[in-house]
Amino acid sequence: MELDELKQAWAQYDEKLSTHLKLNEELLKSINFEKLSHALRKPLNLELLNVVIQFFAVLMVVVFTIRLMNETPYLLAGTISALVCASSLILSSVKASLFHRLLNYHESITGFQTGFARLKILIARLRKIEFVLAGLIGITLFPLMIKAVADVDLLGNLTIIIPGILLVMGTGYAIGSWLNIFIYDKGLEDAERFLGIIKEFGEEARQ
Amino acid sequence: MDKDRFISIIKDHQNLIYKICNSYCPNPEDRKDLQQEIMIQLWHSLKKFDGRVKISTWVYRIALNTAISFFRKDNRHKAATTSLDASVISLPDFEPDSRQDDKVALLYRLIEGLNELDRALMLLYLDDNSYRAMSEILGISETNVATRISRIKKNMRERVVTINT
Repeated sequence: MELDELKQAWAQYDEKLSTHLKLNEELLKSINFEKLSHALRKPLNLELLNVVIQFFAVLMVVVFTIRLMNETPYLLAGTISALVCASSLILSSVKASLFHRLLNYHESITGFQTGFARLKILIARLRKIEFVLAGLIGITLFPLMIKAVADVDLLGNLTIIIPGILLVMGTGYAIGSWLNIFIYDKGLEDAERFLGIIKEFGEEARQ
Repeated sequence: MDKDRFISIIKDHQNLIYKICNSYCPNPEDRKDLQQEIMIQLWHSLKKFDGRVKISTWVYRIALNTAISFFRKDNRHKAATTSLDASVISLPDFEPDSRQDDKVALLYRLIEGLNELDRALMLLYLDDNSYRAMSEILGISETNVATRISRIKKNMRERVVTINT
C-alpha cells in the first residue's frame, strides 16, 4: 500500500464526511453552560474548603481557649480569635451558598447575570473585611496555638512574637493572594466570559 | 456577533474539525472535550477575524493550535474538565468509532504515532494544503514545513511497508 493510495482514501473519507456529518446546533449552544458551571465550581470549591477549615479552626480555638482560660491575655486572644474565625466561617458559608444557588439557577440569562453581578460586588466588599479578619487571626491565633501546643509564652515576649506574627501573616497573605488570583478570580473571569458568549448566543439556549 | 454566521462557519468546516479531533484524541470522550474546546476558541477568535487570511486557514489555525495545546495537557488536567454527553459534530452512522474504513483507520494509526506538530502537518498534507498554507497556519517557515513533511512521508512509507509485511 502506497502513501498516495492512502491519500486518495483520505479524500474519499472527506467526501463521506461531507455527506454524513451532523452538527448538533443545540449542543453547540449549550457548551458554554457547561463551561460556565465548571468555571463557577472553582470558587465554590474554594469556599467550601474555607468553610471546613474555618469550622475546625473555631473548634480548635475554643478548645485552646478553654485550656488557657486562667491566663487573661490568652483568654482574650482566644476569644477574639474564636469570634474572628466564626465570622470568617459565616462569610464563607454565605458565599458558598450564593455560588450554589447561582449554579442551580435555571430561569433566564438576565436573571443569572444579575445574580452573578451582585455576587461579584459582594465578594469585592467582603474581601476587604476578610483581609482585616485574616490579620486579626494571625495576631491572636498564632500565640494562642504556640502556647497551647508548645507551652511557649509569646504574648510575654514581644521580640519573638512580632517577627513570628509578621512571618505567619506574610505567608498567609501570599498564599491567600495566590489562591484568590489564580483560582477564585480566574474562575469568576472565565464565568463572566462564558456568560457573555451565552448572552450573545441568545436566551433560548438556556431553556 | 452573529451566531448564524458562527454556525455557518462551523458547518462549512465541520469535516476539518472532526478530522483534527479524531487525529489528536483516539479516546471518544476526549474527542468530545476537544470539539467543545475548539468551538469555544473559534467563537472567541471570530471577533478578531479580519479577513486577511482565508476563513479555512483561520479555522485550521485555531483548531490545530487548540488541539496541540489540548494534546500537551496532562491527563489529570483533562480529567478535571467537564465532559459533554454527546458530540457537537458527529457521524451518526459510524459512531462510536467512525474510523472503520481500513485505509483511513491505518492513516489514523500512523498519525497517532506522530508528535503533536507532525500530526498537524500530516493532516494539512492529507487535506492537500500547499506548503505556504501550512506555514501560514502553523506559524513555521516553508523550509521547515518542507523538511518536516519529507521526513514524515519517509517515516510513513517505512511504517506502511512494515505493516504490509
